[in-house]
Amino acid sequence: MSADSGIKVTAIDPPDKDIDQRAGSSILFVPNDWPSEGKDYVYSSTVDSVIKLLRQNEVPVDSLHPIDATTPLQDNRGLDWIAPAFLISGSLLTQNPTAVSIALGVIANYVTDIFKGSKSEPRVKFRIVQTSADGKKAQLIEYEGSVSGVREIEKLLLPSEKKE
Amino acid sequence: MDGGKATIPQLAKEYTVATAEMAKFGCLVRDSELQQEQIDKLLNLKKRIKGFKYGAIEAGDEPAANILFHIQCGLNAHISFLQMWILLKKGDYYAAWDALIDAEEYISIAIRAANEGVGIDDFLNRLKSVEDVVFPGYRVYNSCGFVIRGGQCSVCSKPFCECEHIEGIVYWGRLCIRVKPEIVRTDHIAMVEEPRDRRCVIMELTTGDGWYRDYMTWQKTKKAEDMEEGTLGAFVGRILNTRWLEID
Repeated sequence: MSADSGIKVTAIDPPDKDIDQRAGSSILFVPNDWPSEGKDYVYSSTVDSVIKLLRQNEVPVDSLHPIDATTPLQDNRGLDWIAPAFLISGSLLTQNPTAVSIALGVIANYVTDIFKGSKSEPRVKFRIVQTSADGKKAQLIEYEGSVSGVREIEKLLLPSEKKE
Repeated sequence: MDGGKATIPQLAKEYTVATAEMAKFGCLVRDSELQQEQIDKLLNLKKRIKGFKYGAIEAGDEPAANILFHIQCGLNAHISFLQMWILLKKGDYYAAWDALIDAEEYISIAIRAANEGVGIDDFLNRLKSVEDVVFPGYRVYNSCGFVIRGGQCSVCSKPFCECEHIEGIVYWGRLCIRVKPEIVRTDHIAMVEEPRDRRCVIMELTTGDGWYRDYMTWQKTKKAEDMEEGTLGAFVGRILNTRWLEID
C-alpha cells in the first residue's frame, strides 16, 4: 500500500437481520452513507457500472434498493473514483469465500483500465460494511488511496466460519 | 490508395505518415494558415477512418472497430494540439487550454480503445511538456458534485441501468459513458487538486491590490468592488464543462 493510502476500520452496530440475510449469498450494494438513518438515500454514480461489471464476471450481486432510472446517484467531478458502498455478510464469506476477493480484483483492474493515460494515478474510495458469521458484529471499512492498495482491504475482513 | 478498401495496417500507416507530417507544424512559430491546412488534412483522414470504422461495425468486427476508433482518437488529439497553437496565437488562451486538455483526453481514450498505438507515449509526454512550459500551471481546479438520475448509454442509447455496457470502456468503436442524466440538484462545489475535468479552471482572481487579474495573462480585468469585508480573496472560474469530446 502506498504511503498516502489509508484504511480505517470502525466497529458499528450490526444491520437488521433481514438485510444481513439478503446479503447472505451476494454482495449487497447499499446507499453511500448506509447504515446511517437518513430520509433520502443516494448511491454512488458508479453503482450501475460496477454491478454490470461484477455480474459479467459471475460475482453474485444485489442492491438494497432497485437500481433504475429513478435511483438518486452521487456524481462527483473529482478525479477520485468512488466505489459504490456495499455490505459483505459473514454468511457470504462462508458460502463463497472467493467472491469478495474476485470482486475487489475485478474492480481494481477496471479502475486501472479506465484511467490509462491520465495525468495522475487515480485515487479510489471504498466504503464497506461487513458482518460477522453469526451476524452479531459488524465493522465499517473505509479505504482511500491508490488502486494498488485495494487488495489490502481483504486482510481486514472478519474471519469467516469454516464451511462444513 | 483505394478509397473504399484498405487493411488496418494500411490505415495505420496513413495515420503514422499524417501525424509525422503534423509534427513539423506542432509548435508556436509555425504559420497559422499552414497549421490549419494540416488540421484539414487530418480531418479528411479522420473522415476516412470513421467510414472504415462504421464498415467494421457493420461487418461485426469489434476489434477492428476499436483499433479504428483508437486511430480516430489519435487524430483528434493531433487536431486539438494544432488548434491549441492557433488559438494561442489568437490570444484565446482559455480555448487553447481546453484544446490541450482535449488532446490529453483523446489520448487517454485512444489507449483504452486499443494498445496498438505507436508514438502515443511520446505524444502524451509532449503534451505534458507543453502544458508545463506554455501555461501558468494550476494548483487547484473547480469541481462540482451533483445528484443525478437515469441517463442513457452512449453506445446503445438504452437507459444506462438497463444495458450491459460499462462506463469508461470502449465497445464497437465507441466509448461508453452515461449521457443525458437528469441533474436533481447540485450537491457541492469544491476546489480540488485533481479534478475529473481540468477545463474547470480559475479564470480571474483578486491579487490584494484591489483588482481582479486574468489568470493566464495576469492583466488587470476589473476593480474588486464586490469583495466583502473579511474576505481573503475572490475568483471567477468555470465550474462545469458540458461540451463532449467525439466519442463515437
